[in-house]
Amino acid sequence: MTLNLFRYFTLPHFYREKGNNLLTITGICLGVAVFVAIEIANQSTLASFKKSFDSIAGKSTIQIDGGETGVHEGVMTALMDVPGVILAAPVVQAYPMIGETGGEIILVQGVDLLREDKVREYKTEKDYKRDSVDNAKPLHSPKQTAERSLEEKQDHTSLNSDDSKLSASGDTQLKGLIDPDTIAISRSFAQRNGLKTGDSLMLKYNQSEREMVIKAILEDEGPALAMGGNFAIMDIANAQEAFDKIGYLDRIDIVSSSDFSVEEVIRNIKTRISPGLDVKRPEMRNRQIENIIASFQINLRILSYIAILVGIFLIYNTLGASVEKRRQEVAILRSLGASKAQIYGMILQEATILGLIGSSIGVALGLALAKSALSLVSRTVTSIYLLTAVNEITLTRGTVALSMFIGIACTVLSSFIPARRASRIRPHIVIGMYASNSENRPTASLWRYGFLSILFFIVAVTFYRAGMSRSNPASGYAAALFTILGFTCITPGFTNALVRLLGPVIERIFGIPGKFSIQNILRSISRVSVTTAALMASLAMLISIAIMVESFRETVYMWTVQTLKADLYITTTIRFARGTDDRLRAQVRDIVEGIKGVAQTGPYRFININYGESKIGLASNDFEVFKKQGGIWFKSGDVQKILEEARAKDGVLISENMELKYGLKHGDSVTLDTPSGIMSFLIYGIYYDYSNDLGVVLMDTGLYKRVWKEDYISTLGVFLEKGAGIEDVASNIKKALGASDYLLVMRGQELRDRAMSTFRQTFLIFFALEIIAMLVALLGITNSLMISVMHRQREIAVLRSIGATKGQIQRMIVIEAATMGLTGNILGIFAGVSVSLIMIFVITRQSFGWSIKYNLHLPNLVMSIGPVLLVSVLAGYIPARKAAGIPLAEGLRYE
Amino acid sequence: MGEEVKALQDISLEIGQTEFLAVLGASGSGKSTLLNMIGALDSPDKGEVFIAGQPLSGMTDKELTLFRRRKIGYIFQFFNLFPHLSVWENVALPLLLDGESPGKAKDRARKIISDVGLQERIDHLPQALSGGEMQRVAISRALITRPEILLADEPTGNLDSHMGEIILNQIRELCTEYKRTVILVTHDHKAASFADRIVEIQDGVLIKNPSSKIQ
Amino acid sequence: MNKRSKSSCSFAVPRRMKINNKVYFGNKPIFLKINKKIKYSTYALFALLLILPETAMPEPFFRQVLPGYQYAFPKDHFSHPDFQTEWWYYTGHLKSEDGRRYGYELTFFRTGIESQRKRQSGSAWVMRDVYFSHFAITDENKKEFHFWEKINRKGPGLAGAEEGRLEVWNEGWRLDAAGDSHHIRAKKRGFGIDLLLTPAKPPVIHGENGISRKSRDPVHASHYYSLTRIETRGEILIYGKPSDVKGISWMDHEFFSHQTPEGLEGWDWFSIQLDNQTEIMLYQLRLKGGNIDPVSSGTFIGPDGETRHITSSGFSILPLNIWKSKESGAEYPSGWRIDIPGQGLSLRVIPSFKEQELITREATYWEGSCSVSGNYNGIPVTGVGYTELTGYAGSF
Repeated sequence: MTLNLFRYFTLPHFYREKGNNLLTITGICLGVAVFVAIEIANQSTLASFKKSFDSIAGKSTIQIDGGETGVHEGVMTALMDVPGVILAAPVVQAYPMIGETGGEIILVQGVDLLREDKVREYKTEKDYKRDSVDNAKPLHSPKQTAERSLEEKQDHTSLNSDDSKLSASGDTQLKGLIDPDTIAISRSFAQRNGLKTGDSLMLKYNQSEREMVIKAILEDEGPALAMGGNFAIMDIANAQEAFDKIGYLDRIDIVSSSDFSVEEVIRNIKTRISPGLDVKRPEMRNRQIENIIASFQINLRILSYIAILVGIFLIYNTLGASVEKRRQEVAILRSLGASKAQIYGMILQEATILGLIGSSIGVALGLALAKSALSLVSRTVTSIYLLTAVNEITLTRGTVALSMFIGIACTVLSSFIPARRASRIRPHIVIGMYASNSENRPTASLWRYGFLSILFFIVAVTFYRAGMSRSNPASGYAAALFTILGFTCITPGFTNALVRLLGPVIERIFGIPGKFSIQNILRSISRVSVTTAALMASLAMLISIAIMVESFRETVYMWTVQTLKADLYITTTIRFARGTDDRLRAQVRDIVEGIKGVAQTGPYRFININYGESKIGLASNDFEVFKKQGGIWFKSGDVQKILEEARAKDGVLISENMELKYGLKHGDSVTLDTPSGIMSFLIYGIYYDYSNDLGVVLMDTGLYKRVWKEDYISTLGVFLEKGAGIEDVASNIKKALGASDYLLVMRGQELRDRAMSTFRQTFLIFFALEIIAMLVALLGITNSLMISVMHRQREIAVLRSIGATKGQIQRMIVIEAATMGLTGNILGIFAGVSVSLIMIFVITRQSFGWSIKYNLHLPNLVMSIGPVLLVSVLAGYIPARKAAGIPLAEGLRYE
Repeated sequence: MGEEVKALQDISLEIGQTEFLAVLGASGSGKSTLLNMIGALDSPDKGEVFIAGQPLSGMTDKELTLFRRRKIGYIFQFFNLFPHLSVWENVALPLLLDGESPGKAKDRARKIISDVGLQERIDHLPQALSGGEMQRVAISRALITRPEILLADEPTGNLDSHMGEIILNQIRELCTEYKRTVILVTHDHKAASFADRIVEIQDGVLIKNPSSKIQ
Repeated sequence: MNKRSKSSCSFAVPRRMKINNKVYFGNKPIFLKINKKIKYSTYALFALLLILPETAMPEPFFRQVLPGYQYAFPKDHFSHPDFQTEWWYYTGHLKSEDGRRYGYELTFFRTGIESQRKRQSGSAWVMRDVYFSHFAITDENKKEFHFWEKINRKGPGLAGAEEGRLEVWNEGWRLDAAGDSHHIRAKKRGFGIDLLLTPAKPPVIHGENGISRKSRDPVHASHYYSLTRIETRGEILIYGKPSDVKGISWMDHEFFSHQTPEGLEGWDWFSIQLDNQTEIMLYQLRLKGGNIDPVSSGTFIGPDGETRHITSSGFSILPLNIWKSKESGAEYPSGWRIDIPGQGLSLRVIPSFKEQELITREATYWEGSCSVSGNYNGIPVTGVGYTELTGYAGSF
């Protein structure tokens, strides 16, 4: 019987219900597409990190990481003949910029090509020889003459195998890397930038520009795949010269013997080198990255779950409408003997098919969206965490399968209720003695829901309190979820009460149509509540996020004002991508302080260092300058005293999220791995830092210089004398330092603005999705009313026959829509404020460690009612027209 | 799929101003359609309906609606009362739709409701009434605007014969008293006999037209 | 052990010849790639590739080998960075207390790269010189041969050769002075040697006028001396098990700045230490086409330290057998009949066992311990020796 049902009822319906089905499919599409896009973005980001790390790690099983300050190259001799170490490969690396400002950044690794093959494999292009022999290049120097004569001799004396010819050419390329200022680039980078061997490439790094000659192209394999293909190698000596790292290495990659366990070899290594050095397995870096961007990724995931929920709601609505339209048909089917189960099955079947179609399109759409999602994600991750260049999309079969499953599952799930309703349609529609059918019994379950909502609120509060004390954002999300659930359960009761309250007023203003609207709502509380709840939920999220963002913005703004106090800031352009170790030389400070009009400068240095399983920021600045000029916002305590004590006693200050994340307090000591060994520092104060969520340890420049043995500057803050002209000083500084589009001289206001804009960017995605959610909820109103109108055909026909005008009928529907909108809005405000508390005091705090000052802008909230009301009215427009257009004779028929 | 089905064909009918006309026909004969035409619930594909000299075809929807509200009263077989409105609200509905204040509307409704003997039930909900009582409320609703034409579509169809008789008598009385045109549509000969004149309709065509009066 | 599994073509390291020149390295271009993986040779030897022939240069950068060089010791044991290429070559025969016999080879090479020497840079990693080192152990009883190699640039101290004292090292493999003795050490994966070498005779300068010639062109010459009889004692490590050993070693130290002569196919070199306190060094330069270069020569060292230069007409070497290497496919002579009529010597030199081939990134060559027997002026003599054969691993 089900088969026949499908052929004769479901299938024809598909054709008839094109509009509705399209909406349903759109709903599924939306949910699945966003889910897929975000999953892809997340996975691709992680995968690209992993790939970079893995491809760079090659065969190495242990890495000694110098972090941002590097490791002294003397360590190499200590590693000679450590039991278990087959090879220690030194690496000097940098992220110079190519071309103009804002141009690409490339990862350059300086390696000891003599021994690299034991760790990493580089393949060079094989047709080089053909080119070099065919194009007789003019000879420039005796060296080249000799080279050419060498090649010629080789040709004469070479053996006849092609291999030999190839290898001859192969090494001709890489041997060229010994010469100063030479480089080998990856094929994909070469293609993207139209480069070939022999071309020159300008690298900008550390206030200098160097022209490199491309000597070889690396095939896109192994390490050449790192950084999305933005990869190059140089000989290690050249790298040290070009990047001003004489005497230092960034990393030592170690291949260990399989006769030893890796842990054993790590122990052996640690006994021979300074204890403060970071010796790890390469996999740990993957885990570190995951930890670092975890919060960000979780939040993105939540977004995708919201998208799915929105999709479910849309599906529920449209499927429901479609089922309603077929009441008659189903009734007849039932009277013919179709069982409840069969009807159920029919609807579910339909849902599954729609789910399949929608999911498939959704996956494709998601893939298309993924590219933009990816660029957005990688831009955000770059500016906040570390440099990423994600050029590849990782779409696993698992993701596709999961998305399809989610799409279909959601469709089927949301079809359960309409299916159940359909199966319950009694075999013969009782042509009631009444003009209208009462959809359900209004008051019976209100108490039940009320009780449930109290339960949910209690659970929510419990999670809230749990979230306050423990550093676990999950409890914050749980609290938010239960709060929304609580408000959802309260919706029927609230709607009931509000409508009864407003009833007389509405009646007085709008007359009979108003009365009918009210009555209608009261009669179909459950249908109305679903719609209103959806509106409430989406509004709640929108409002809570808006409140959070506003509060955050206020707090961050206050922070920028308190912290970014200098008149001018000097930094390098790459600075805005984290994780690159670009920096200014210490002389810059002297040069700038010598310029007329400059009173003082604050040398801010910021690096990332390992801490536990993750990383934290290590910052330094001149505490004397802080004392005089300000620029640090303490949580509590006497500013001057704290700074003086910390400086005198070689103590440190920690950022507030350090306190929250690691449980460190004033008076505790924090233990760090430093180039001078493992050291403990006493904490003298806690300050606010919203520039990153990793946690920062801040110390005086003098202490930093002593322990980290370097005096580079990340950003130099310049304080002017009274009356000095900011423009003049800025241009003098530019002249003195040598203008290059590599160096940035910014006014203080510019930096503050830039800080705020980065912040704004991050929240854009959230807002976009919220608006969509709200629109969908409003669509729910439309749908809900459409169903209602379909139910009430006869009632409307009777009214029209008695003399109700089309306008009066329309008004009836629209008032209902507006009332639902208003109810949803008011509830949404309450829910939104509640959730905002959770967001600010639990989620943000636990996810990022930031405390935000709660800022509730009441007038804004109240003003939101206007637009929502307006849009609700608009939402009621289509059902209103449909109601008014009901043909009278048909509506009154009994058959 | 073949020829169109004609519900009515070649109908030409004149009805007097205070006439009580019965249209007799089996189900599917087109009697309800005819009533719908007269009551401006539907419009003919070809032809014209004149009420008191005015053609319905030229009227806008708004005009038709007002026409229905003030000039026509309906009585349906299935009462079609609104279950969430009280008796007086149901009765006064046309007035309320007209914008009349509830106070005034209730007063007017009270009179008519007492006419049909339901004054104690004035504030009750329809659920509390019997079938006959509900039909009487429906009649009151139909009459409250003092319409010129009263249309009744099988008004006794849902009532037992005894109650039906009472209702028909009531209609007749109210009609004579208020001097209205009544058009009754039914398949029941007995019900039809209450009328001044009977026309028969079968398969969309009038078959007997004994006393045609040309106006 | 560390033998490369599949080398198609590899080239001999001219032990005595110009290592620098890429073309001339054993006459065949070194880099000819072995497997599909370009990397090995590419990276390994690319330093060597850098070394260009100076033929077109008007003024040579490196110091030339000229007659009249005044040798002085211990100074000449130290490094001579003004010459381009240099090596210290130790071979020897050891016997453990329980009678087991071993041979060893430990060599340290250094070669300078002109373009990098001229470079002004603060980086310690500039490849001013490339250092490589070979270490081999022959277990004569078990008939096992093990060899390893290292290649490094100096960097922050990974390898080096000091000019002011005897200190040559490549990571953990070291040559140091210990008073008048030399202390050599090398270890790799459960194998190693730690030996104190005390020369029993003064250094022997080879060649004429302090110059050892490698071809008809006088530019192909080197300063070459040996310590021909060195008392050796110390420790050997075999499969992780240490044993005390005693024995006799030979040291070669050669430094020069020329490139490999064009017509050279390879050479055979012999060091022989007879139990009557005489030693012989012979080398035979094999030219392409099959002839022997007449500048091939040798040195006879008498029991009192008296040395005699032997020209090519003064000795003959007759191979007795052939050994084909499964690894490289090269066919090496195995076992020789050596006659030096002028000294009354008629000797048979037999390898302690056949498979003593080293396949390294730089070159493939045979270097193995041998036993010697024969007649000296009619009196039967026995002894030990080391033979080196280069240039046999051609392509197939």
